[in-house]
Amino acid sequence: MRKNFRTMSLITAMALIATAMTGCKDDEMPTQDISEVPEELREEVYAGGQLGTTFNATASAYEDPTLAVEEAGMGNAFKYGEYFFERTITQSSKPFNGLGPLYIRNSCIACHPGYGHGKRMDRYRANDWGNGYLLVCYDKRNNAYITSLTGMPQTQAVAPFKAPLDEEKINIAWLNYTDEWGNKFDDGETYQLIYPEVTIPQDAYYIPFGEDGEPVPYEHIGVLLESTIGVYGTGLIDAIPDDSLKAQYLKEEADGFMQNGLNTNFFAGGEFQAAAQYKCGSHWHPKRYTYALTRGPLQDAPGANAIWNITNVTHPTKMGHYMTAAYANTAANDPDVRRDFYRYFPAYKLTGDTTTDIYNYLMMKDIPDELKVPEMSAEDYTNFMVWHRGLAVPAARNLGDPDVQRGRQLFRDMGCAYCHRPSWTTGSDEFHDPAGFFEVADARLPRYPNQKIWPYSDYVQHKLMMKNDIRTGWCRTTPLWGRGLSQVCTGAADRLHDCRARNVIEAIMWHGDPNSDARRSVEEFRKLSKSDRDAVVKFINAI
Amino acid sequence: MKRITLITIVLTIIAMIVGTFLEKSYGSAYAIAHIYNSPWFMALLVLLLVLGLITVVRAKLYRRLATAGIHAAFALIVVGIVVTTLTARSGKIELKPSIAESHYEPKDDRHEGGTLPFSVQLIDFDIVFYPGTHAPQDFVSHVRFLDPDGSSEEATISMNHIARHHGFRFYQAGFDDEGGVVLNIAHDPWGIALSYTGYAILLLSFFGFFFDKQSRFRQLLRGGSAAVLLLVALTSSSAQAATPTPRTLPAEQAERLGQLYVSYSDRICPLQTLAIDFTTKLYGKPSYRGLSAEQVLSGWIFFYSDWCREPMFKIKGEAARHALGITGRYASLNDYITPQGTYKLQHPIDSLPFDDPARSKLLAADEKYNLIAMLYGGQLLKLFPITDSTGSLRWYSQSDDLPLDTDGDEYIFIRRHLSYCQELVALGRFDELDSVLGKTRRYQEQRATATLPSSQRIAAERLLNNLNYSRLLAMLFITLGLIAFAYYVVRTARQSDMHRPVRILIIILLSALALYLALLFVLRWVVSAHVPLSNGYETMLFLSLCIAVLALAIQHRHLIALPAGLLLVGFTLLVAMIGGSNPAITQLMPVLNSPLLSIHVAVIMISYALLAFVMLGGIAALIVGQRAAEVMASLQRIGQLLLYPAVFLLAIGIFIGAVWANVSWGTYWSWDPKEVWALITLLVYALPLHARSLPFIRSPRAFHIYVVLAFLSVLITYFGVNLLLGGMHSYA
Repeated sequence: MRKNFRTMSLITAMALIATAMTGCKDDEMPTQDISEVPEELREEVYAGGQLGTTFNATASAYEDPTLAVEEAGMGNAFKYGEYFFERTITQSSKPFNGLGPLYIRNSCIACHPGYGHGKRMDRYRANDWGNGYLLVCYDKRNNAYITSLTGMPQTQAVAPFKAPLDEEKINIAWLNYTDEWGNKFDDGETYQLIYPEVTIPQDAYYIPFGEDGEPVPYEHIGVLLESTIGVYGTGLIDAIPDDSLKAQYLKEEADGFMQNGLNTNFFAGGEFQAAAQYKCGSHWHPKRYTYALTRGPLQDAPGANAIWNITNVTHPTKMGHYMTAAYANTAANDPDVRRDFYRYFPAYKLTGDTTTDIYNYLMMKDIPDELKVPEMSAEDYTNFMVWHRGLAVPAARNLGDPDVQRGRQLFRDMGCAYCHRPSWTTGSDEFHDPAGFFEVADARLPRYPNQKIWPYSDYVQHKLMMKNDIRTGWCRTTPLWGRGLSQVCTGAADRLHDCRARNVIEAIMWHGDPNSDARRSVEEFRKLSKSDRDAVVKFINAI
Repeated sequence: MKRITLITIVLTIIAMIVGTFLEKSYGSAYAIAHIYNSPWFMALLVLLLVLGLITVVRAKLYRRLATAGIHAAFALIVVGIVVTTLTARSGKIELKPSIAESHYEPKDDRHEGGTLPFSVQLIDFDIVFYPGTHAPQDFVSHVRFLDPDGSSEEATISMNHIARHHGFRFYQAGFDDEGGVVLNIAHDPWGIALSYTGYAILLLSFFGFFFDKQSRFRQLLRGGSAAVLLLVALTSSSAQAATPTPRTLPAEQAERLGQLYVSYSDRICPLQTLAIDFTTKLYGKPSYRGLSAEQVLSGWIFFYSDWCREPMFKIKGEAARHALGITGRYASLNDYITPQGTYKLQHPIDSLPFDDPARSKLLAADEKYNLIAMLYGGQLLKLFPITDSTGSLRWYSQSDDLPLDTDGDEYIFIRRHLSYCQELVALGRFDELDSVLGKTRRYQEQRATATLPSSQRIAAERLLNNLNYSRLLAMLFITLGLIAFAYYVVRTARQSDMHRPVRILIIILLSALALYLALLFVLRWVVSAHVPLSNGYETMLFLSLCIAVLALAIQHRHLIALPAGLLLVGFTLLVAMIGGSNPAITQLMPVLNSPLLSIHVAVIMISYALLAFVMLGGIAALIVGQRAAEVMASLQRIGQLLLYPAVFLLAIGIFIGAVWANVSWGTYWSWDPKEVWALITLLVYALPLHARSLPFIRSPRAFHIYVVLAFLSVLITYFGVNLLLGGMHSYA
């Protein structure tokens, strides 16, 4: 049945150009295809299910539309939406306008080289190609963000404004780390571990630290890096049913395998906590996106937000600027900004009081309706979301290879697959939009009902206890699907949240801290022979 | 007088030998300062010049136009070198965006800075990337020359394109982070004019010499000859390691893939052509491990993980091999990247100046890597013709930005095309793949009806693609040529003609080859729609055709034309093959693709081959001649006969190389060890041509000992320089 379904859809697509079928020919079948793959692996080849997989394995593998897009006839919308991801946004060239006043990057693709994970960088520059880093500036005493900066601090500004942070002064040092085993396996094979130490001198900041009255002393400010991850397959993740996620939490809570337990801010006593959920109308939805698990349904997830807060392009559901009051106050009182503001923004000479006008423009406060036109139209935003939901996941490769099969088995035997949960089955995909812009299961967007997908993540947070760890130490298990193509698609294969791991072995060994939730798996990994370790690596690169 | 001349020549040779070793130990600046540009070396050259002229006058050689011309040409060339040394200026100029600059800095401590009689302004600077990648391919500066009289001229300078203004030549040499560039400057109008005039007179005189009935060459040609023994050892390529053949499409589907149209190299051609260039570019040959070019290309498209392990990237130059950490000649794609994901060539390339010759070898290796990046980026496979709303038709790849007004369904078809094909390959459903490829071709035909090449042209191109035998033919004809030459010499020594069947056989062989080459020439003309003389490969094929025809035309008067023809055709095909092994897929001009450079290499190789014959004749004479003075003498005559074309070709080869170097490096002579040793070889072999003036070399025995020992200079030039001395030619 499935096979017929695939064949039918292929033929339908070809009908576009078809004239007549040519006859079949006898071939000497080379032994190379998934007909060799054992039956139970064959469905895993379709990592994104029948509706969400692309077999493209070249540099554009992360960029392909899904079959769902094709079948729903959404080619045009996908095409327009893609433009918004790839094009450089400027201040005024429509329809790719609206950059600033402050921004983090001037395009989406700037952070997602080849639609993938960011690259490891030796310096932080918004315009360096492949730099997917976001700065994390936080109060080391309580792990809270510095509230006078935006959560993702901006380092770029359009005239006459000044960036809140001078990126040229940011220093990224890569330091060597030696683990308790001396970076060595028992058979003598060695590996190297490095981690970033980021420092930003006090004079790099344009704004005060912390809100008025509650300043954070400079010495308590910590800086970390977080890299983007790939954007493909996010529509499929949205289709995982809420109760399946809850079942996963319940199972992990009951098993108690994690030495750090679960993040009780998110899940405790068999229930999601308030911080773990989003309210959409009368429904509550558990969050499933970002390392910090800050986002719920895809329609309010990183992509839908990033088109707004990375470039500061307003759209129908996000009309304000991504901005802090602390910055607006500083800028409104900066003589350079005051001198030139009306020259650059004559339409915002509203009250006649320069301080108020600058503040109100930046905070989008008391702005008359005629100036409140979204920079991105409703139609463009819809197209953008068609594209976003419509990105396919690369098929698994080489599952017929005995080494890969061995690695796959070991991955499960060592317990890696406990958190890197191999597969999920999507529900009816009645998706929601917290902002209410899209209807429930809106027919304008592609859907992925009842697909078996293979993301290799439990979508739960765990702790790896790494040196200079992620803020709070809690990190959602990152999906592994498609990552084996990273070198081909993005020119780099760096792994982990700050790209500290330059290959799979380094990534695995960063899981090995004595207090890490993955400690036991790493101990098992260390017991493997060299060829078995290589098989595990080969498997991870094959999915 | 003769003695003084001889001593001067020997001193010059010794000085140059010392110079090459000093360069090795202390660097080229030291060698140039202390030897080549030193007053005493200049004095030596001038002395040589004066003595030569006196000799010419005393021997009344001016009555013999060609011989006089040759000597006058050498005199001009020496004067040119002296003038260049005394008057040439060079340096580097650093330009910041839009700031006019006229002062230039010295390039190194043996030059001085100075001021241009005009100023240069940088308009902008671009880094051109390999399509679809972020790897730099070329560096392009747009500059404006501002003359004092207020007039100005704009020019573009890139890695393969220099700019000229008022006798100054400008070369791209570097850039900085602030959008500024560094240009190398060369100014040597008088030296170049004198040297080039010298080269031209030399070339004309050589032609004249062979037609001068009084020339020693013609005298020798009329005489008899003797016996030569030959050992021909042709090494075959080393065997492949026994790893499993990488997966690919079955031959039938690969061939069908090759029948798709693709927009490549500014024209529409069968994908087969691209596959052949792709495979040849990587591997140096159009097939790999018995797989056709189409199978290699489809293997890379569909089975990346197998192919990235294959050691099929032919890497030239020790610098590149060392950087990649390989011991043999072939690297795999995996060899380019460290386990930590660092691109191994990045640092070596960045750390070398633009005009460092080792850098060009690194860039050639870099180009191969980026060819794969272009394939995976999709930019190589422009398979989809789209007519946009303005009515203009362009070919797009799956990953190009398609026109915004592309129909939604067509857009999805293009974007998912590779996924369909790959899925069918993964499922092993090749019959369906056949059908998809067939439909894709029909789609191309429907969408691009008017602009597709005619079916005759496509047929011509497919025929041409399948007629790829230059490697085989080169080896065959060199072998046959060596055997035929030995046979000819033996027969001539016995005062007898060739056997008639042998003669007819060679005529048939040469005629067949001429027909084959003529067919290639016509096919290439049909396919490319321009005269196929645009690169080294095509030029050499044409030269080969000319030689074959010429040999056939004159064989009835000069029987030697037959064996010589076989041999020369073989060598030109060999050089064609070398040039053809580096097709210009990307914009990066392959070094060996310049016609001038191919001729340089071919001419010098032929010269060395002739010198090898003379050496072998010398050995044979010294062995056999103990008993037969007659044989010894006739071998001397044949040796002297061959020395003329050998030395003339060597001189022509050296000076063609100088012209090429002037175009690409900004200096026609840089005292590079290979250049110096070629010059030493030239001088060493020029001596026996002057036997009338040099009595010690007249006896057959002395002659043979001399030519055997002299061959050492060829060996050092050809092998020793690369192994011992390095330098700009270290890749050659």
